[in-house]
Amino acid sequence: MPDTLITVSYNYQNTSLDLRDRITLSDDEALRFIDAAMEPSAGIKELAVISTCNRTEIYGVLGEPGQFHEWVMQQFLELKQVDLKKESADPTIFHYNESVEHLFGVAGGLKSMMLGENQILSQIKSSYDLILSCPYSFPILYHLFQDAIRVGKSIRTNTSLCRGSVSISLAAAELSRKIYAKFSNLKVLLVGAGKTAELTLIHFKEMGVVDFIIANRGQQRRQYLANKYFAEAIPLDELGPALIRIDIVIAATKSPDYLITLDQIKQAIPSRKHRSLLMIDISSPRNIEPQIGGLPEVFLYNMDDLDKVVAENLAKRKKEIPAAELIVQEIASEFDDWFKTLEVVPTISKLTGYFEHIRRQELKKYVHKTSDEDYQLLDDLSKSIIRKLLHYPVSGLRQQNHKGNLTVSKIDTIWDLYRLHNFEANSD
Amino acid sequence: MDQFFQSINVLLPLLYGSVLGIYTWYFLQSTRTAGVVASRLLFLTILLHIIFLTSQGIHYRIFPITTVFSAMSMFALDLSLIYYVIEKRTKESRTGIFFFGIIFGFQLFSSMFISFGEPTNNLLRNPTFGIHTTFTILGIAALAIAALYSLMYLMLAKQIKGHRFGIIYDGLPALETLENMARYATGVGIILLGVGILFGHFWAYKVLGYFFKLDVKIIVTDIAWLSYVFGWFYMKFKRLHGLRMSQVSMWGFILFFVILVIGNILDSTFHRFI
Repeated sequence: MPDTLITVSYNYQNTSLDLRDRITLSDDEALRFIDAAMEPSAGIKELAVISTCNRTEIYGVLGEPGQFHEWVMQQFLELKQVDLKKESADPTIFHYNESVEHLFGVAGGLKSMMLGENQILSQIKSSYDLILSCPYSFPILYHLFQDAIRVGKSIRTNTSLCRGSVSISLAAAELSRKIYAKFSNLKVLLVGAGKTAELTLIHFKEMGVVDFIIANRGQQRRQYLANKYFAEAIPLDELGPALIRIDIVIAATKSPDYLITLDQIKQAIPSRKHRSLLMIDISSPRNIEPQIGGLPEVFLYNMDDLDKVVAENLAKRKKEIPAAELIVQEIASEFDDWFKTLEVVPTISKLTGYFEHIRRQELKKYVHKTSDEDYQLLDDLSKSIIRKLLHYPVSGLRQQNHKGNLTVSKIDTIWDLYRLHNFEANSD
Repeated sequence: MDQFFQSINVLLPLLYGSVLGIYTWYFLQSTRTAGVVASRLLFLTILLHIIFLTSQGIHYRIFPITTVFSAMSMFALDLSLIYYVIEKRTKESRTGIFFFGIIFGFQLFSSMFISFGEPTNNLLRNPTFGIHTTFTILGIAALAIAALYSLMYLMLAKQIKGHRFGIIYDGLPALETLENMARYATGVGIILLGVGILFGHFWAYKVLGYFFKLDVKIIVTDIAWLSYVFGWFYMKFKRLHGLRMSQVSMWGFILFFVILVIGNILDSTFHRFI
């Protein structure tokens, strides 16, 4: 009986955030999930888990589709004490082809809440590493996850689905990529020490910036952030001199006044040797005097401008969906070809084994009734007959498999006709 | 041999056209394959172009700048060569589209109107002439490339400032990269043009008996070179960046080019050997 692939997916489209939080699996828990699957009573041959804040998905390879969903729910009950039946959770269940295309879509960022997000690919890599680290062999899932990673990389290389930021703080950081080439030399001034400022700081840090100045009215909070990110902390009245040293300014406070004025920048420009200055004002109301944007050396962006950037990027990403889907389908078809060879190979091997078994059984009857020479002749003759009898069925199976005409029901018919399921028990 | 020259002469604009096409594809799509293919095809085209000009030189025993059209071909090669060096140095291929339109144009014109044969003026067989022209044209090509990078800088800066995110914004590298490319090309241009000018004066002294002549082209080239040297050191010591540097680089080259063309029209006797 050929194996099949099933996915049980609890994701942001079918499961509430609260429930998603409760069923998120750590690496240890995922390993326990896999161990449980490898119990003979579970009837599962291979198992992998993807668990992120937006989805928890269980990928299983089974000989019989059976009660996989029920088994998954039972595991969540035992492992996380979450009764998914009581919670009325309604996961999406994907069978074979859908399952493959779903995982490839996830890897490509097509199924993400934020279309084209990049983090999911590294999460899939982690899931793949996890099954590699298990003491079990999962050949089908190894191949599936390798192909999923290939899809993810191909979509990111050959389409623009994952390009351009789609959040305000990331858009601010991304914008600087068009002005500066080397981030390790840059100095970034953060005016404000709230959550938005910190989030933007993190984005810049991820891009390679190491030098930060944090200017804030509250001494405690600015010092806290400065210690956390090895930054320099200054009070707001020292902003003027700081403007000479920095390359990027991010203002994110709730102050009702302009904290950086046109006069301050005009004074700083000659000392800055006319170096470019990127100023991002994500405060409401604005903290950077808008007239500053008129200075030739300054690139000033406010919240509305960044909103526009985000909307444009999202529209660009949406345009790339067909190209990304084409990659998914192409690699899914390659996987399907590979998977089908797995289906037909055991059938051919069982069938030839079955015929060979009959041949030997019949030949045994003549072992003491004929001379050695005649026995050899009978052996050769029977081999030749079996070879010819099997030629068309075997080549036909291979051809149909190659053309994609071989269905599970056709293979089942062959197994039923020759009782191949019982063959091993009866064979010698 | 003429058959060989004619064949490459037809092949070169086709190759430069293909290079332009692939760089355009890379600029619009940013697919890594396109960048690699463009760079490799450019390398092969440059190699073929060098073989084309060298074999002409060996066959006719001349330096292959005997007509305006052969000079155009040499200028196309020099632009490609300098561009290729900068591309390899900065690992940045997205600006190719801006150069190969011009390079393709120069080579196409050259291929259409060029004629092969021996020069009438024996001065064109002098090796010093070859060194002088090679370095001068290479120097001017490098300065032209610097001006084009500066133009790209100004275009991109305008888009970022105006919050318009069009093809230029998507396709070009960061302003800082463009600035570095322009700065590097200017430095290379100053050195190459300097060597070219020096050999020109040396050759004039050897052949004509005087080191300097009051000729519009010589005066303009010498003043332009001195201005570039002065500008280079001024920018370096004053540590001026970005917009200012790009404006000076672009307008400086335009002024140099316009004066050179006007000078050529006003005084067409000197630097003509055919």
